[in-house]
Amino acid sequence: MPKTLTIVLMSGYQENEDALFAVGLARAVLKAGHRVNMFLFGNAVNMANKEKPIKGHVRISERLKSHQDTGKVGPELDELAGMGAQIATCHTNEYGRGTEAEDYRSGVQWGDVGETVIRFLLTTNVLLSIRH
Amino acid sequence: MIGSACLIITRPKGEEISTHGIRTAWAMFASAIESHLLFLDDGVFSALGNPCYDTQLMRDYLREGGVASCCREDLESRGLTEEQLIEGINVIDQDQIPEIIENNEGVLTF
Repeated sequence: MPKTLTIVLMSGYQENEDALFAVGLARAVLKAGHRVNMFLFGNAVNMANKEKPIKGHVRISERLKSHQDTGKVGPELDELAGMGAQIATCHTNEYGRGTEAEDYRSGVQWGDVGETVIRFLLTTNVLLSIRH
Repeated sequence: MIGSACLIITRPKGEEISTHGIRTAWAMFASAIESHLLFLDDGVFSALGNPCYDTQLMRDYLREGGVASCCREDLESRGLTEEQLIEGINVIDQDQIPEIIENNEGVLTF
């Protein structure tokens, strides 16, 4: 019988590899036929929004750009949502970062600790926090 | 369903993550999901009643019946005393921690 994993992710792009690990774990759990909820908390909310195209010349070496692109897991969140994951972000943390009301990625939903985390817990079998 | 959770706070006041933990405990408690806030390591600094949002939320949580504990050994190793804690926080010995974790269906670390 499928089980549900809820991940509370509290790290964002680049600062460490927590997001890479969380996405990899979520993908593996979904492929095994289980369900995944992911709540983006703290700096993880930075991954909730659609990226804005860079204007002008990109002054980054290809080698550094390639390295940094490894950590850009935003598109992978859309992929996970397409596999059935429920991914939500904390709107109050977005407010604190000046990004509330910016367009979300297609796989990410508006969320709140009081509503979304509780809703996730009601159907969760395994709870995991990922942070530094 | 997760019907109870232990929320471990390991970071001090001023680090956003400690606020996340306290907010989550409050949200769970308000939704009738049993929660036990556990202040460990540098998280004990978040239990001191510093004048801030976290302390206001902690006082509401404790006043309404929420449960919170602080590790004695972590307090003492930082030169802190029980008297400095927000009123209502229990002080426990390190060897009591496993039982608290075992008695909850889920654990979140902040």
